[in-house]
Amino acid sequence: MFDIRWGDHGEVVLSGRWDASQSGRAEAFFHALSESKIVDFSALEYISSSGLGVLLVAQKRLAKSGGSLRLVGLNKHIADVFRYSGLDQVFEIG
Amino acid sequence: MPVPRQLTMQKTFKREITSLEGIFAFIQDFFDRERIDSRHLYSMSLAAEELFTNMVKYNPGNANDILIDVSTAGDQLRLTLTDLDVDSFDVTQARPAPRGVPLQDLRGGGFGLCLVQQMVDGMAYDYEGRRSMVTVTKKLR
Repeated sequence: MFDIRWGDHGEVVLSGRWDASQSGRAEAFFHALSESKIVDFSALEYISSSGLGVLLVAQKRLAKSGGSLRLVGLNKHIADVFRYSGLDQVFEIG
Repeated sequence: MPVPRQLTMQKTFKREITSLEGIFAFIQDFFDRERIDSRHLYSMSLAAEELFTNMVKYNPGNANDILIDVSTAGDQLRLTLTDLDVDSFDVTQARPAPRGVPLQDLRGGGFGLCLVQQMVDGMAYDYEGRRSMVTVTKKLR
């Protein structure tokens, strides 16, 4: 079960498994962002290229107004996904 | 000389993204039955998702279900997806990660096969009689 919600400190909190069948909801959430945010991956178990695409689109849009997403709490497998895709160079991670 | 133990499970899935939940459960079931180290589960689940969603995305009107076959042979785990009545699309062509590309020039898609190619140990493509068959392998040791 995938979930995306606001955390207590204004961060975006992801949890569960973010596969292609879940990206519509995540896309709507990230599309509504208008300023820099921390995205907490601590409770996210899985992400695929579908999720990477949603995050990249949001990062590109925010960058046009000087904003960005900072990703924290990535597990080893998810960190590998960012590294293999080259997107570890696009996001601030950690 | 002993013959390596070989086990196979196969199942067909409807050509729709909502099949992913069942595909993940199918692979998890195979791992549980064969007591395969769970550190290989992420890469095989991701390979299954990326290859399956590609088949759905590029042949949406095809009425055929997609066959997924998972097996072990010796120290190798093998995942095969078979799609019928489709055009050829060689997923083994190198797709390097777009390192050094400026952010605004990056596309939001196209990472799937790049990830699969880096997360498995082998990848093969076979196309014959409009049957497309993709196999990925992962060493278990």
